[in-house]
Amino acid sequence: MPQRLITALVLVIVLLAAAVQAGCWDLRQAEDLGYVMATAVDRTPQGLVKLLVQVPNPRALAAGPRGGVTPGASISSKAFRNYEVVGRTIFDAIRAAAHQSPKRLFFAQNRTVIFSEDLARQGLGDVLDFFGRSVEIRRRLNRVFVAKGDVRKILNVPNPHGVCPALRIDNIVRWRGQTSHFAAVPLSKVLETLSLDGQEPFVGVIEAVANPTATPRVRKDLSMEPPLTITLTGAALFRQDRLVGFLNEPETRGLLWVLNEVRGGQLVVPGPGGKGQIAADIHGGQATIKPELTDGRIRMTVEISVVGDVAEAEGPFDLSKPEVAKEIDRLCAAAVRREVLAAVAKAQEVQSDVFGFGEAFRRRFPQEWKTIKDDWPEIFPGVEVLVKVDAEMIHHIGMISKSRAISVP
Amino acid sequence: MRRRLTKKLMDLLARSKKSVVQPVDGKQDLGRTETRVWEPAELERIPLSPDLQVNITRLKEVFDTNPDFIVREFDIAGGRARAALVFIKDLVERSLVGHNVLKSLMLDYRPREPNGRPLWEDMKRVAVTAGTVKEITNLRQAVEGILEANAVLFLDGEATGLVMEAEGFEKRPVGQPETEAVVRGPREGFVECLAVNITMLRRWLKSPNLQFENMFFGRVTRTRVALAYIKGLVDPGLVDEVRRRLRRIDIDGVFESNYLETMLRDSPYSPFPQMIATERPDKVAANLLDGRVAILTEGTPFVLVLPAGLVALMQSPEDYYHFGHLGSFIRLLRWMAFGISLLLPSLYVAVTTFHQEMLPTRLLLNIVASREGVPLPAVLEALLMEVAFEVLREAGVRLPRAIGQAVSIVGVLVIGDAAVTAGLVSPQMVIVVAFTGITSFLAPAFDLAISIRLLRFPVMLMAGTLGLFGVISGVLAIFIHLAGLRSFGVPYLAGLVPFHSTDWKDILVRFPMWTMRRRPAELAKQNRYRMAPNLKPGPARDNHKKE
Repeated sequence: MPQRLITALVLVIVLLAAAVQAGCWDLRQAEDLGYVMATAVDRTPQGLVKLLVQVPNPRALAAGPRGGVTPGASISSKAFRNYEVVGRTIFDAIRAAAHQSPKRLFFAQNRTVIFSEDLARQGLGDVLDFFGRSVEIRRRLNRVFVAKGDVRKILNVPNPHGVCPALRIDNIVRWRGQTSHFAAVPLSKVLETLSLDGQEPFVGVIEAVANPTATPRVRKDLSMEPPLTITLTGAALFRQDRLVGFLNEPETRGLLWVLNEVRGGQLVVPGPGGKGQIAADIHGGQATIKPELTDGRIRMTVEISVVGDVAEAEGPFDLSKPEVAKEIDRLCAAAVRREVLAAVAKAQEVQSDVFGFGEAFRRRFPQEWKTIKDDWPEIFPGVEVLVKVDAEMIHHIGMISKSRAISVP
Repeated sequence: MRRRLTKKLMDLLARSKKSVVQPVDGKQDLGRTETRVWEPAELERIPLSPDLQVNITRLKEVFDTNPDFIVREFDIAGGRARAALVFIKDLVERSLVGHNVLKSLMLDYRPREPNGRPLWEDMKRVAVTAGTVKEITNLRQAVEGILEANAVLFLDGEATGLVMEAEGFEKRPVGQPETEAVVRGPREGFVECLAVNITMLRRWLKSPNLQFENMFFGRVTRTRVALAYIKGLVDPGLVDEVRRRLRRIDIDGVFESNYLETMLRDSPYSPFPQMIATERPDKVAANLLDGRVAILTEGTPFVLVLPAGLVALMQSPEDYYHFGHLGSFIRLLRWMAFGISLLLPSLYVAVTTFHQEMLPTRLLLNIVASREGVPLPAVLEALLMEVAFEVLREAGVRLPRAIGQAVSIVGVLVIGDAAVTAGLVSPQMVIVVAFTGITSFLAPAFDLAISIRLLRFPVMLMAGTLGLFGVISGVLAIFIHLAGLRSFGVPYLAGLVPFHSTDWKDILVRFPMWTMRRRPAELAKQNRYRMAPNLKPGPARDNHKKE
């Protein structure tokens, strides 16, 4: 019996030791990590990678013994820290950041990847490899943006209501359905479209603009309104991995219509009969691309059905009348169509098939695609695009049926 | 005279047994002639003598100088015969002895000559007014009868004695079951007295098929144990197996049903209880109806019910006393709490030390913020807090009620608040540990809660060294163990594995009563249905349609 007991004891010790030996190598206490919330990549004139990572300071969250941030209260420590490092590659730069950061940089919580416009114009290919390869980067979670202007400025906008600019960006992305006026493309989608012949990648655009409500800098205090504010706007078009042009806000929604990515937004159209104007609240849309091949000419028919409601009716309309409703539907459909056509025109101009027309063609005509796929960038600008929009904008008309303009003559 | 009798008795003893009785040395100072140790087997070999004096002397030998041993000699039938009543003073109800035996024999009894019955027979039929009597023929029966709080009557000229029920000592009154309180349902709990407990079961199950088998365990304690089952419902093989296992037990004392439980288990080292220990008569009765066997032990309110698997241990009688939706909700909550109380600290440790990517950013930052400055790694923090919690809990049980209150307040303040303010532990950990502690009280079987409490620690260590992989390994190990475990041959996970669809009506949720027609599939195999079909209630016209 003692012999068996000793054997059991030894076994337990060995197993425990094995578990400790095998397990603890990747043990890291939560507070020993620096959670990178945003990563920005630029290139120095010498061709080195310039990396800027944003790490929030959790302590700023827990100001005082009871925790919690009180906006306006004086926060002793800054809520975030930006580290800027230079390296020959991204990985090199990340490891170089260890000289500055007391915590190991941890990228699995990163949600925003920003490339400078210069870098994007030179081509993302080299730096994207890291983002495609690293096990810590979450490709579905990260949204890719191109920065207009200085990245440093964008990531340094103080945020009185949140932890750091990165989370602010994340929250703006979350509510993108309010307008659908900017693109927020997951990293996985960018990497996926890069590998396709019949579709080009596009990403969102991020910018720091002057804050009209900024308070003069009297105190070095976070309770003031910052001079700059972060905004997401439009989309950046790529050919292969190079930035070739931008879409403005309505054009961006035109692109998102085709890709079925519009979750909502506002649409302002002139009122029926040319009087007043109507603002519609888009609920969503459904688009299908139908490629056609007739006599060697490629034609894309995009059919979009849009559903929405009237949010505002400024003018003398009676929305309960079917002909008025029909007219509003027609006007909205025309507006959507204009957005799409504008986006197509811009994309064709820069030869960037962000719509995936080539992919649609390949699925419909796989044999023919093989012969034209190498020339697709040249063929794409000449492709005829037909847009058919079917809008149904009056689900319910709100709390009043008639506009004030007619009830009070 | 007395010395002569003693010598005679000694001779008799020497002749009747082979074993040598060892006199204990050096006890002469109290004036005893000798001190002997009496073994039951030895006593059994000594038959009762027709000579009253011999019997009395023998018993006096056996009980030696015990001051509470009483021999009351008296004459009956107008001096026709001598008799003696032997009992232990404080074990018997004195008024009972005085009234049932002494008064009726000494004052009221007039033997009726004409019917020609021997005096002994006549006395038994006419004069002894005790309800339960038993005739005995040897000394062992007499001694045991006396020790079991009976009065034993001897008549001169008869080689038999009469054991008469006269039990009368202080008992705790029937009260609420302390460990299994219910909101709705009977509030009666078992007590320490076996007879009372048996009565309670009899009152629940008024069937002649309810069978009790009496047994005695403990060489010295001779604890009475009753095996209970319902004939025709229980699997006879199960009863045989229980009897077989019980027969093996030979220890000097049985003070609680756990003495038997540890000796009866299928898997002695398993941390999981393989029997239900309950204080509730209604629970025992319901389980007997499911085809289980109960073991009632004298001296403890905890009755063992077996075989029991995980499913049975998760069922509370209250599930059936409430409206079905509530019963189901509570049952679901209980299974959830079962998982939480086993895993929550481990998951917290694993996720915060190995898998930071799994948490939503804000939650993670929140945890990190509160952990900043905590000097211990999360595993140690968790272990420390769990140990502290267990200490407080144990202290709360042991301490006198009045002080317990104070200790729990101090404990809560010190552990919960001061430790956080001092930055020794993070508030999140306090929440995790406290919630885990609370969930462990949801288990209807206290034994099950204990096993979960114990298993929490190794799983926590696994989580701290191997992360989620460790947690999963631990859970797998537990599952493998559970899948192989049996309780009296019935698989521990019966219903789940092996799968029985009819049992599922009473596992995660409690189906309406009328759908639970069948008894548990692994039990009561020869009597499957507990109710008539189509009992679903409804308005009359529905019933017409069906008919």
